[in-house]
Amino acid sequence: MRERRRDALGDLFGDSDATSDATPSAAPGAPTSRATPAAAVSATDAGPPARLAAIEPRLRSLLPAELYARTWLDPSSDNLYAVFVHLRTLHRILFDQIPRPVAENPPPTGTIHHEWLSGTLMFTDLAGFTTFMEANATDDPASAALVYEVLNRYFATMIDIFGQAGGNLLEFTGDAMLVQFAADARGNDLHRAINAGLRMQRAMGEFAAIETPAGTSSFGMRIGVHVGDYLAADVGTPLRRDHVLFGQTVRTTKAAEGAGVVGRVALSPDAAARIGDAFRLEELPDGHHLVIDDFTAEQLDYFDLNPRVSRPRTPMVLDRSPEALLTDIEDALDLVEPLAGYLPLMVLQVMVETARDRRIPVELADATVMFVKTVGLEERLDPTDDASVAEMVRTFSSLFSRCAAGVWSRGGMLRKVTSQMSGSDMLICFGVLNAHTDSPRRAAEAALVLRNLIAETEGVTCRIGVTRGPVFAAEMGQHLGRREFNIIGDTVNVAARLTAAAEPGTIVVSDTLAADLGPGFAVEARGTRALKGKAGEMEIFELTGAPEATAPGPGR
Amino acid sequence: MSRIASIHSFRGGTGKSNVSANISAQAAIAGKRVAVVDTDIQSPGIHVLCGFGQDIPGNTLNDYLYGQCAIVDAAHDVTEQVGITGGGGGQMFLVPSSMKAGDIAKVLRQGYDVEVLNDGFRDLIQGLDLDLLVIDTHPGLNEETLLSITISDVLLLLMRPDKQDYQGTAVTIDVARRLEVPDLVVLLNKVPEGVPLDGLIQQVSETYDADVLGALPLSDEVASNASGSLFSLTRPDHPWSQTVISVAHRVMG
Repeated sequence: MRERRRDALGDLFGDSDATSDATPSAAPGAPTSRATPAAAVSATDAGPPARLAAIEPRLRSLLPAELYARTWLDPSSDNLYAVFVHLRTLHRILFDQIPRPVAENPPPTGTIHHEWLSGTLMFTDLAGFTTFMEANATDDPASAALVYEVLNRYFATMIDIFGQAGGNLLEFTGDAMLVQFAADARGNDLHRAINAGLRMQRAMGEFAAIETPAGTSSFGMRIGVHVGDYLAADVGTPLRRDHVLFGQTVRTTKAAEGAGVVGRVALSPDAAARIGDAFRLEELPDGHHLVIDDFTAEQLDYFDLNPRVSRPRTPMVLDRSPEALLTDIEDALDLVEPLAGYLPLMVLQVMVETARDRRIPVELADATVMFVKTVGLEERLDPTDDASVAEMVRTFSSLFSRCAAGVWSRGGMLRKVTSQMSGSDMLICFGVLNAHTDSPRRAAEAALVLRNLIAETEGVTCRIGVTRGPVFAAEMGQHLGRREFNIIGDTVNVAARLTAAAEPGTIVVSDTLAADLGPGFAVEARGTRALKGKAGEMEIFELTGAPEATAPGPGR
Repeated sequence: MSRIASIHSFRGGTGKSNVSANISAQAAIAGKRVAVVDTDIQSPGIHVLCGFGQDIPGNTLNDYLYGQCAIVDAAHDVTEQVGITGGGGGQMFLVPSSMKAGDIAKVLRQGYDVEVLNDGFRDLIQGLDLDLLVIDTHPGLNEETLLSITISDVLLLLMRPDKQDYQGTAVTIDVARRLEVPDLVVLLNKVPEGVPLDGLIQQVSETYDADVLGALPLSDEVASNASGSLFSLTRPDHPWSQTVISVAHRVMG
């Protein structure tokens, strides 16, 4: 009967075979998913419950607690759909938290991965930031809210502008951003980066006079641009991994920023040599160049098309039956899991619980903040020797993994490792998203453990700086776009300055931290120092030993 | 009780935007508070039928999706603009998609959180106290269309009477049933002159086991209207308009 009807319709449309493989599957009387009552599924031991049990270990850390319990107790189609929707949202959140090239194509969980990439890099730094943070103390909620609003507006504006030219934000460090414009077939990456830089400088007018209770502040920005090859590595363990950039190209980009001028776009000598006559340049005595912005608004426009555009993959549901939903949940997990390790577990847990809001609640924390600067590893990098590159990445990965574990087991968070002009910095904090009353002692223990760990790696030395004070812990960047959880505040700046003041192999702590450590820790006064970018001098101390009873050592 | 209606077709050129706009306007004339959302972000179009040019003033759906505004602030009251008159008390809103090349490129490059779109539909219904939300979709199956199909009370599938649309509609109906859409209806559009409408409606209805609401003839008069205004408002007595009006009433529930 159905065949005859279809034939008739096929005739009408001019082809009697038209419908042979396009028959609507939901024919009357045919079994369809909607005929399957969810209750019948949860009542049986076969099917979904067994499949759910099989993926339950994967869901534990990725579902909000209430949804996890509800679904386990009743794996109905509605609850499974809610799980899917949550994972889809979480995937999007994680996607936005991670550098785009990694988020789009994360290396398989558990693998250490490195590759040489080419393209244009841009480094931006905000002048006036340290003074602004110092003047607007983050321990006062009103000041903190102001700092958050201004910084987020700045980041969101800039991310949008370079994003419109195909720029990917690779690293957020304090107020600085490292942006990648991947090489494209038309060789336009450098042009796109310079266009974006000029637009960004034009947009800085909005931040020239920021009214605060502490007076008027002014932000200026330096931008450095360079082209070349750089080493991108994914290091760590499945639980905690990170994406790090190495190589002279990254350092040269930062040097171009340093050589530049506030309000301008500075090019490295290599970048300047490659741009032809598309831009007018002004040469600096040291060989860097400044781009002259003599474009009209129409000439510069507001975006550049990037031929490598691809819309990120989104998990989708095509069937609401429990069986099909479980398959969709498994697919969504496959997408989410490789990304989850890029966030510290503490941050991930909060993001999972607050996924519905797509924003972590802003926290004003009394934190202990530590920078660990390691030197001696990247310096060995010989780009022409594949074996030595792989060896360096493996060593770096193992150091990162052990440091992250040493911090985690004492209740802290290794937020990020960043390749610097010299060596790499690890930003570590205690008392953020996880309030302990004894954060200073935990941090001091971790500092001693990390120093010993790093000393075990031949040829690598470290300097560590630790302080305690208010920080602002929040997602920085675009509200529903590229953003990262970060801690910001004068305390973070002080920790960075203390690290710079430390001798190789030593741990320098501030007076506030020294006073908070309590009995047992060996601390020696090291006089006063003027710290870069800070008004006045600061008393500093060296942490030399832990209490006997709790003395942590490597392997603890 | 508010209703969500998705207007969809497997292939392009079936007249989705035209039907969406006309149905919405007819619902407003019938006294309903109705909003139509252009989720065809990659190739927007319905704003033209609602009287906008290339430069859409104010916010668009794109601004909402990237957290720049609340969705109600991207809803434009087009009641007067499209020419809805009379004392029915209805109102018609449009949430347009941006026509700026850079904004479209951004969606392609960056994507967006489809659940934010879902939240937006809910906020729009609540914020504007809507009786009917009409979702004009991108042709084919993609993330927006799957999302809108999933949350719809009624899915209106448009198809032309040709082999390609016939196969494509079968695929869409299959997916819609798997997604458990409560009410699935079909509307034939652009039916060539000489094809007996009643017979066509009956055959499509039997094949898909779906309610076929009608068949709109391929009309020179409608075509020559060329997306300039809403045909069912300017020519309410035309058979094309009469069918659209009856479809609007069915969709309103």
